Amino acid sequence: MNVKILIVDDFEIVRSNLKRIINQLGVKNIFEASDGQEALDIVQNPENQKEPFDLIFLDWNMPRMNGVEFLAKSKTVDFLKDVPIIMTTAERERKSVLQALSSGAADYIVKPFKASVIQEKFEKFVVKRKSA
Amino acid sequence: MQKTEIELLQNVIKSGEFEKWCDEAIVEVFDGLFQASPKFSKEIPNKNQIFEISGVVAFITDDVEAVLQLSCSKQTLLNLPANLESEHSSDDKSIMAIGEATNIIFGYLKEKLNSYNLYYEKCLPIVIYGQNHIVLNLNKSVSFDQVYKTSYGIFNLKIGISQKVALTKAS
Repeated sequence: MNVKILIVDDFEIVRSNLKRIINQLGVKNIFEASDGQEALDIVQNPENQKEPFDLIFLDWNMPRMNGVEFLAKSKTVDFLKDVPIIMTTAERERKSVLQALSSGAADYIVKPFKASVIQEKFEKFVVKRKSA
Repeated sequence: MQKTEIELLQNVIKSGEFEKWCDEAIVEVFDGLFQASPKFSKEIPNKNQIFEISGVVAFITDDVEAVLQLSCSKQTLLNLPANLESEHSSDDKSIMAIGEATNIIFGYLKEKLNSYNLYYEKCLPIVIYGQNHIVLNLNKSVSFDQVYKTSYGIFNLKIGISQKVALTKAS
């Protein structure tokens, strides 16, 4: 399956952990960004507009452009409207989950990542959509 | 007499339950972030122990200013499997991991504190690197100080809380 995933987080250790888990699911086409602005630059690249991402993992708290600001921008960009975006954060409170979902996130994952949770979201947002 | 917010927080921190939450948060961070499952033992903090790197998260309410600090040596961070296995990690990037570890520990504690009706806003985590550094507003108000000894090295988790000082405008 040809799958393309973007990981956005300001901490390299988080990106490499998530990349390792996604690699184990058989996905090799993984892009990384360290903040919302860099992510926006990547998704707006003509190559990535032609072949959009299948899934974006987006950190909440980041410098320059945070996750909620990225979500707001993504709603105004045509080729991003159908891309599921999963918020990732250390915040566990219900209030934060609701804020992420009301900002346009498709789902929400609490850090640190568990491989079983990432696999479940991958199947829900990528495998099922691709095979539909 | 009704307890002030700072008294409530201090009482929770002094309880055995809080120490248990910290232990659980440390285990989560090691398992999920550092890809390590070390057995840790808790030791009495030694003032002569030198920690070169700290992750710091400040959290506040209208009445309370608090700081959570997780410290260790550079070598301890470089020893962690998650950093050893990272394909493009530099020393600097490995050091930054302490910031995210502190952030995750605070996220864990924050949810637990909610059950005592204690709600906090936090700042982005920062990383301090340098021998013998001190976080002044933490150092003068330490309410929790625990050393975790692991096979990778020693970590120190500290929490300092103080009453927020109201700013008054000079005439």
